[in-house]
Amino acid sequence: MHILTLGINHHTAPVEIRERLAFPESDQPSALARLVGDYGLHEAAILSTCNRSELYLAAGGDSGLAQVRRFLAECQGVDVAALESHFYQLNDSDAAVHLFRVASGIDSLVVGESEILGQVRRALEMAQQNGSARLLLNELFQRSLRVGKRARAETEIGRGRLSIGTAAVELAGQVFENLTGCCVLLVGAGEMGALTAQYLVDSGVERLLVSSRTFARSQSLASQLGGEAVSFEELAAQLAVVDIIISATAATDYVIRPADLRRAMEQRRGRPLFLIDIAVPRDIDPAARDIDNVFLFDMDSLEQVVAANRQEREGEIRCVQTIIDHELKEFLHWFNALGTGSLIRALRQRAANLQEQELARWTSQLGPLSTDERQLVEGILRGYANKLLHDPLVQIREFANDDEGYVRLDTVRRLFRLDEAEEEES
Amino acid sequence: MTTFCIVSLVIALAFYLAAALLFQGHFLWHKSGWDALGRKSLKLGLAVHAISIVLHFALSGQALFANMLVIMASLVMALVVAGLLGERYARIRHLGLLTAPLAFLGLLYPLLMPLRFEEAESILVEYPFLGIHVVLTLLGHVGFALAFCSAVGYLVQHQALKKGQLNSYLPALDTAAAATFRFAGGGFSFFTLGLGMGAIWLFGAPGEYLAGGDTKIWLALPTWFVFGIYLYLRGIGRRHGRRLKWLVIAGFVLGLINLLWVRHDFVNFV
Repeated sequence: MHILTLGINHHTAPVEIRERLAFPESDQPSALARLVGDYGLHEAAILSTCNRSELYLAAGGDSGLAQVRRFLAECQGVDVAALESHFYQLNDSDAAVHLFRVASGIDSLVVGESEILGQVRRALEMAQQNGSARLLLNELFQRSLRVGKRARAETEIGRGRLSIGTAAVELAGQVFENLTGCCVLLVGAGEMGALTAQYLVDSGVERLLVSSRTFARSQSLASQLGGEAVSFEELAAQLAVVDIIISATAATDYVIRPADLRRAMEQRRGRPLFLIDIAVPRDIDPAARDIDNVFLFDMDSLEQVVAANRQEREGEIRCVQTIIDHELKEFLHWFNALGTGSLIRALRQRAANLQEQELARWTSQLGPLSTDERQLVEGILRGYANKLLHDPLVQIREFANDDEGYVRLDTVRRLFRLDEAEEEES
Repeated sequence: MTTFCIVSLVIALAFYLAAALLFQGHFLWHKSGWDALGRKSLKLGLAVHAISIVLHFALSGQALFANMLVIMASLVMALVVAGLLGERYARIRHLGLLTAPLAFLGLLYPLLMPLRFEEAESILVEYPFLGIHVVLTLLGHVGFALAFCSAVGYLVQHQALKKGQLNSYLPALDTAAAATFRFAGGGFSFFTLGLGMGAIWLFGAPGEYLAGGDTKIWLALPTWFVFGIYLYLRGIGRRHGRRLKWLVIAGFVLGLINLLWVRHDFVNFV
């Protein structure tokens, strides 16, 4: 069994690419069912945030990745070959390290941000609810959550209020020195948008408007944040009134278009309008950047804001890496032990199958054997196989404690062609 | 004494140049601490500059604003003082970035011109309204220069934000816009009063001076007009944004042409 990770993130792909491979939560159950059901993968989980779309898989071999690429092409309607340069794929310990880095926040756009831990947890819950996370991914994700918690508890990686929201507030400060007189419109009632709006509210904005497709959700969030709900149909009219817009819907198409903004800017008489689009796929047409006095920032634009933050936290990143190394060692022991058990079972099964095949071959040549004769031959074959396998099995059990154990176990699997045998049997 | 004044003005000029380079270095290459050094250099330049002007007035026996060098030196001094105060109290973080090079160029220009420190009995004593006119229009130009600095800050920040860049050294757009409006408003008030005083003086001025018309007047009016349009659009029309700032820049350039192109001395009038 192998752990595989295939994905794109803010390091490898711009937002135009990331938004094409985003998995809205509503689409995830069917995607997970297809991964496990149609593509023969043992386990699957999807981590889709504004900065990354990653698939975590448990598969019998590397062949799973080719299947997953086909799945992405079919599921998202994209030409995967054209996106090939943006993909990364990781196996086993590399995949585990990657998830640990993600959960600890050191792979995030805003290093140390806290939202990612909740997103990893939700990815696990989604996979569990859909029956696609069992022994291996469950353990991997649980350990990654532990790494995330330890990183924040034992280091200063998460000190201060770090998030996309704080970066957005800092950017807003470049347009409005003092946010106290500003009116903010939050489009979408999701968690990321709400958190960003909360930071702006804490910074003292005068008025907060909340608009989402479901008015009841807008009302609920507005009352929670101390704002007012406005209907989604009034959105275009509000563009002329507000100073800051945060858009974070799950819509797959643009919610705010340049034509709406041009009309609004005429009414605003050139008063600057600051838009933060933290949705992936994006909510605001990037052509809005060309409109005079409109300032649009999307997830990639926030990179500039957080570059300094990354430099400041280099020392903390090293401390988190130590935690990751420690947790990885423990996970690999568990993983190797798991691999050891399954390998021993597979080897014994292979030996038993060979015994049966040999017995059948000799029986056809010697003619029917009496029960005693048959038991004798079976005993000889079993004893021979057991003696042959004894030393390798002892060695295999020791591999569980070896840091490189999974590599050695893989070598044994290849030596005995166990994966092929299992596939033939299945 | 003349030599001492010029030498000290050259020293002040060197400090202004150093300040300008340090501010640019901080802005362009993000050299930390260079802006603080630039501010210190600007203050040192201002101190030397002030001593030079005070000693000139005290010891030369010349009247106030008797020639171009003194006019420009006073204007530059007022600009640096207002810039430092603006940085401190109006939270326009970048003013030094623009006032330092302006101060350098403003002082370099009259120093390169033929110097006119000869003894002269100024007509300013005879015509007090002319003196008030000079002081007020100078203050007007200082306001316009600071409005120009704020407008340039706005436009640079605007451009940076459009490109998705963060430049925390420059002021926020709303602060830069408000400062542009305030400085332009203040400058416009002084300039208008200055022009009024100039008009009063004109009625009593020597006839031959007025006979051929005065380029200064014809160049002052477009400056006044452009800033008037800006203030109307911003204050009454409630217009905002990038394009308005270009009006401020145009007004400042017109004022600069008036100040530098036309000879400002009063020695030959009597």
